[in-house]
Amino acid sequence: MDIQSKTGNGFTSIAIKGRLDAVTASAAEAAINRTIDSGASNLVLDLSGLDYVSSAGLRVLLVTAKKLSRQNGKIVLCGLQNTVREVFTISGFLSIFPVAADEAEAEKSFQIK
Amino acid sequence: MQPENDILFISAPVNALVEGIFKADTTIGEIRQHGDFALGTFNQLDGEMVMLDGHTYQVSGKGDVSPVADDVHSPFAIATFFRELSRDDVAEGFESVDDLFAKLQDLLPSQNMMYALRIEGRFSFVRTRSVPRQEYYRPLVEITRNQPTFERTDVQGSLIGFHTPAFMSSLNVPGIHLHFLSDDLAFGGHLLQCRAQHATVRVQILRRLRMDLPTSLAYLTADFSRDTADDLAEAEKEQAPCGQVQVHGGKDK
Repeated sequence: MDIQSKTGNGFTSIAIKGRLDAVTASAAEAAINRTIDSGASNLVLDLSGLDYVSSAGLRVLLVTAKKLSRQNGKIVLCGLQNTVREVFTISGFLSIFPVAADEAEAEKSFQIK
Repeated sequence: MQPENDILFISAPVNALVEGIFKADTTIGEIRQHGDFALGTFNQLDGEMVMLDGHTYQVSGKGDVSPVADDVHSPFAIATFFRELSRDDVAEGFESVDDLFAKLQDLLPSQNMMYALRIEGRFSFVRTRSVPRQEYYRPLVEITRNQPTFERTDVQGSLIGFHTPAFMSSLNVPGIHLHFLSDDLAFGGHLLQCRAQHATVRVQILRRLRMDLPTSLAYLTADFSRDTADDLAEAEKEQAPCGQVQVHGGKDK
């Protein structure tokens, strides 16, 4: 798994590549928490490079969403591949997270209307 | 889209079993209409049930494993058509059943959801229990206090089970409930203790529940107002070593 973050216009983008599973979940959660603890409350999770997500990965995303909601923050997912999207669909998690096609579309979610 | 096969089927509320209703008209054939992956017991509490890939097995009170016909009756079973949402390798294995349960909890996104769990691996140690056939009524908690237990070392097999939210404790065993079945079909039962160097865990999220209510005289006239949570917790956990322990040899030992 590889995690890269960058700051955008009113949000922080975190790209997760590889597998988000029991082996990598703790590292991913720690990296996301570092970003949140540094002040980011609006996150875009770029999953375009994510090959696999297991239930352990879903747990990380759920914990992150809960943490951000307490801070009046927001999380948007983008770039879901078919295999990853299927896991989100079957688990019902697509109804929890806003999903955008790509980072540009996700950015619009944070624009003040 | 809501998949039709991510449904947990409960043949009767577990409270009925806890209160000593050990007979029902539900057949294994009827349970198999609701799943190919199940655990439970048989009428008169005649052993532990394990259903895997559509095949049903009985672990008797003597520890023997045998296939079960569709016309056999069960007072309690939970089933689903198993299809994994995802799988994880527990590469470091687990040292005990408590360690296994802790690692499983880390795989579950929420405690408030139902899950089917299928854990496969080579176990360095497994201890199970089963319950001898009961000819006369006794409370479940009393029966399990003297449960025969069975042990085996170095065994390839599967743990089959479910996680049920705590708020559903009158319907099903709350938390994680697992039964073991060895690949050689010679050893199994309700899991009490285990150790493994490596295992693969497959998880299925179950978003729907279907439960049948018995229409027997015993069920319809029973008083379920008693809080049975303590009885159930005691019945499901490992007891002090007062029961009979048998060490099973196996084909792959």
